[in-house]
Amino acid sequence: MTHYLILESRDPFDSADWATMQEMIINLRESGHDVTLFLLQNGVLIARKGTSFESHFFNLKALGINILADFFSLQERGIQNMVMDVEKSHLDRLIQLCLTPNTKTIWH
Amino acid sequence: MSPQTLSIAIMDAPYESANSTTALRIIHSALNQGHHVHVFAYEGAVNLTMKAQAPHANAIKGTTVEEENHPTTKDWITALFQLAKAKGVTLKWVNCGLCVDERGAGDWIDGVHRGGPQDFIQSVQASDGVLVIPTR
Repeated sequence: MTHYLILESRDPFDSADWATMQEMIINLRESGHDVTLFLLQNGVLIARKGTSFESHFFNLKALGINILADFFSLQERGIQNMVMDVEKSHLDRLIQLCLTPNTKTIWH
Repeated sequence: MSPQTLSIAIMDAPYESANSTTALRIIHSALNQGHHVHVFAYEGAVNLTMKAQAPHANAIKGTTVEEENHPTTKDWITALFQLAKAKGVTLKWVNCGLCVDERGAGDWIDGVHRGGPQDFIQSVQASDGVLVIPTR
C-alpha cells in the first residue's frame, strides 16, 4: 500500500474545498493506505485547542492517521495550546516523510 | 545516510504568497539534511531568481535601506546554492523558458538554468520524492 503525505496549507474558514480534502484523506485511510496529515501555514489554525474541529482530529487519529503541525507556522500564528491529537513537528520531519519509499506527497 | 533526491515544482511569484516562503524553507531543510534538490520554477516563480531585485527603504517607518533590511528572494536562493555547495549536494534550479520569456525574467542569479517541462519529468523520474506546490 502507498503512504500518502498530505500537506494541508489551508483552513476551512477560507477554503471551500477543505472539507473535500479531509473526506479524501479518510477515504484513503479506509482503503487501507497509510496517511500522514501535515498541517502548515494557515492549515494549523484549527489545531488550536478549543476550536470546533477537535472531534475531527480525534476521529482522524482513531482511524490511524498521524497528524503533525509545522512548529514555525504555529509560532507565527501564536498557537501554543494545541489539540491533543495533533503533534508539533517541523519541516525536517516533512522531508523525511516525503522521501520515505512508496510515498506520494500531495499539497493542498 | 546516503543523500536522496527531492524534486519540487513551484509556481508562486515572490512576495505574493506564504507558499514561496514555505517552498524555500523546504528546500533549505532538504539541503541541510544532505539531500539533493531539483527545483522546477514556472509561472510567477521564475521571478524568484531575478538578479535585479533590490531591497528598499521605508519612508513610512522612517528606515533606511540598511535599517529596513528587506529580504529578497534572489538573495535567499543564492544562500541555498551556497548551502548546497557547503553540504556537498546538488541544488538544480530550472526556470521554465516560456514563463521566463512572458515575464522578461531572463536575467537571473548564478546557478539557475533555462528549461522546460521535460526537465521536470526527467527530475521526477530520477527522484526519491516529489512535491508540487500549486498556486491558487
